[in-house]
Amino acid sequence: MPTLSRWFIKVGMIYFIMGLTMSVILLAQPALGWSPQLQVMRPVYLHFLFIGWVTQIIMGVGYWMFPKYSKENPRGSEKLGWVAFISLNLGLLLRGVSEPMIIIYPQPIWGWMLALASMFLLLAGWVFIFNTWGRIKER
Amino acid sequence: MPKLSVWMVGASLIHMGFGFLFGSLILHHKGIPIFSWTWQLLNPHIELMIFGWTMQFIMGIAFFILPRFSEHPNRYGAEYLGWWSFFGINLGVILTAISYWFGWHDMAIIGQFFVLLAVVTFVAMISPRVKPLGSFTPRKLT
Repeated sequence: MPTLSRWFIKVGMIYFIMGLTMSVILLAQPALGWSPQLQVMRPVYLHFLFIGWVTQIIMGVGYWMFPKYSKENPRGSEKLGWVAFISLNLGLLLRGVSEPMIIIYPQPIWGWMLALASMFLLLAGWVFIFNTWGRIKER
Repeated sequence: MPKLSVWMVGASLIHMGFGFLFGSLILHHKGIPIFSWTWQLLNPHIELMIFGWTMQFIMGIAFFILPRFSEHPNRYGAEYLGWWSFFGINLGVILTAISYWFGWHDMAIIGQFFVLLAVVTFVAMISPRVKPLGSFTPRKLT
């Protein structure tokens, strides 16, 4: 398995654990009388599971197992693969911090961080598609 | 990769591209507002990401990698059902997403019904292939 795929999958598993931890906290919050402000984590929880885990593991396994792009360049551009990996995780981490913070402590800095996160996530998705498109072919 | 998988995975990547774009606009809007209509993208974003991207991608890969009927001319099973499923899920997802955008509730139900039909058709096609390698081949696959 290529190094990039291992990074995608291992980091994906960390998001899986974080996402499920958040789900436990969100469900336990009313029952245990914890602060209702914890519910601001809900969109982060959903995206950690759906983008951080599901989409990221698809990216990792896809980079590894899709049909070869060419003999010389079987997995497309490795550099672009790393760009997708780094921007996806930067975007998710920025979002993970700034999305709850902008509700709890509304400050312009969190707004800018959210905007930056949105650009990193879009970049990651589009770069992955661009790098993968040539490998979706009949053998 | 068989042709149906190529089309399903390719279409799922297109849905993913639009899904990421809509999600990115919504996230940006949460931090720094851009367009008054940005929040209208939320339901189309969810539809594209769940059904258009993830579900369709899984269907395409399942058609590719599940055990085949190696001794039968239709190695992949009743492939025509897979094509109906492909057209159904894409029609359904696009119809549902557009309906959410315009607030056409009844049309969204029809779109989601197409998605349901597509999934039922896909399950009917793929379930005989959920089998041990080299075992039972259905007599009629056409």
